[in-house]
Amino acid sequence: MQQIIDFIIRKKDVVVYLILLIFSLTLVFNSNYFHKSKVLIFSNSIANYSTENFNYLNEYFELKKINSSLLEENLVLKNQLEKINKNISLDSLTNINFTFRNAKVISNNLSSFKNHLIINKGVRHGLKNEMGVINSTGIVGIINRTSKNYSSVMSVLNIDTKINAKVKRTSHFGTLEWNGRRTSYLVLNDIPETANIKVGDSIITGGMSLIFPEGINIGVVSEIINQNKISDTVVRFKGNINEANYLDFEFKENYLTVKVKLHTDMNNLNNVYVIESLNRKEFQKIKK
Amino acid sequence: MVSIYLLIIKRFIFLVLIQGLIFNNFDFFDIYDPYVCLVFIITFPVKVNKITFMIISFVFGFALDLYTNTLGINTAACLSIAFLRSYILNFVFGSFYDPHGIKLMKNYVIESTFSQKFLYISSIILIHHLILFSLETFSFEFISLIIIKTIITSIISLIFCATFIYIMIENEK
Repeated sequence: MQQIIDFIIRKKDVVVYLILLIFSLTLVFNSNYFHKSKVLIFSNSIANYSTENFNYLNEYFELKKINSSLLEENLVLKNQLEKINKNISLDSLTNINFTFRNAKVISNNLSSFKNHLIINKGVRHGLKNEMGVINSTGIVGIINRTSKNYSSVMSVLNIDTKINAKVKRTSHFGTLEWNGRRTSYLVLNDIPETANIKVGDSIITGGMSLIFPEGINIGVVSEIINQNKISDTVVRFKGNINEANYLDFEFKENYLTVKVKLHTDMNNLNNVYVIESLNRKEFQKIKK
Repeated sequence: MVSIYLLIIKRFIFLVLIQGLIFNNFDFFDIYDPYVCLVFIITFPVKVNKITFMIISFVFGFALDLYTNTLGINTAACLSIAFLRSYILNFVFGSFYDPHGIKLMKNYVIESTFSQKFLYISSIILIHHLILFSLETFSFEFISLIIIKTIITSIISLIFCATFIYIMIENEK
């Protein structure tokens, strides 16, 4: 016993290091659980508060740019409204599935593999987890955590984010992911090879998950990469088929990997809209 | 001894704020940020007890985590290099390194050779970035990406940290 105590006293640096390391690693792996703790919400809101106040300064210099982008968006919306007024009767407007709220980006990070944004609205303004966030030009991300006044958004530039998307011209569905390399490109997986996709096709949201409504612009196809080129080779063998029991034949359907250029400029986010789906509870009930 | 802790608190607040508010939004080539906060651990007084040092850098990493909206990643990385720093100092400076901390930071900068300074700062930065990025993704799928990102970010951090330290020793008495 004495020897053990002596050993611990001699190596107390290592012991303290290991204890603290285990503590920090549990923080890493249980981060979803610890997010809810009150201490963290309090300390996080201090960080958010200071960033918000610092951002007022930054925002002042970009007022001109924000103003012109808002004007542009206004123009597009006005044109759309004109079309609706002419073509469709008012009945269709009563059938609302989604509502929008505005919010402002406080902090935006691009440098990590799991980027998050902070927006200045929270539970008090009616935001909840898994609401979509868009910009006037395209998608931005999905809310993954809310506190009283702020909420954190999982950006599309996050290797965990998966968004349902489709090709506008051919309506083939796929999953949109980020490969961690460049901030203006995403990767669209699971599009079958038979789909006749060309460079320049526009990609829109699929509307399968009720996070985003169908038809929000995401980006444009910039490159098509064939995924399964190696397994494409035909295997021929001569001889008795009984001896070749170890041969495994795999006839996969080939999927395309498509590189998509984002419409949204993720460097430069100011005003965003949060989408709330009104039929979400009903949808989840039937999905179970 | 009190003045040392005052100095540490001053540097703590200054470096957390400067990293969280300015350098996290630096976005060099879109995805590379310099980690200036490592100056805190590189220039931490040698005089202070190692256990105290580790606990302070644990809290330092936690404060950085609040600004980057992650949990535990910066904490683990900062804690690990705080633990490894005495070994690195011993390895790089050899007999010149005194664990009792009579020498000032200025002495280290003036009396050591360029390669010693370079090796000390770059090894701390490389280890920190490697731990940080591999904990962040935590998958073998991105291993080539992690290595590329570690190297590029280390070069940027090295330039910024070296500049910072040279500015700091101008003001040291």
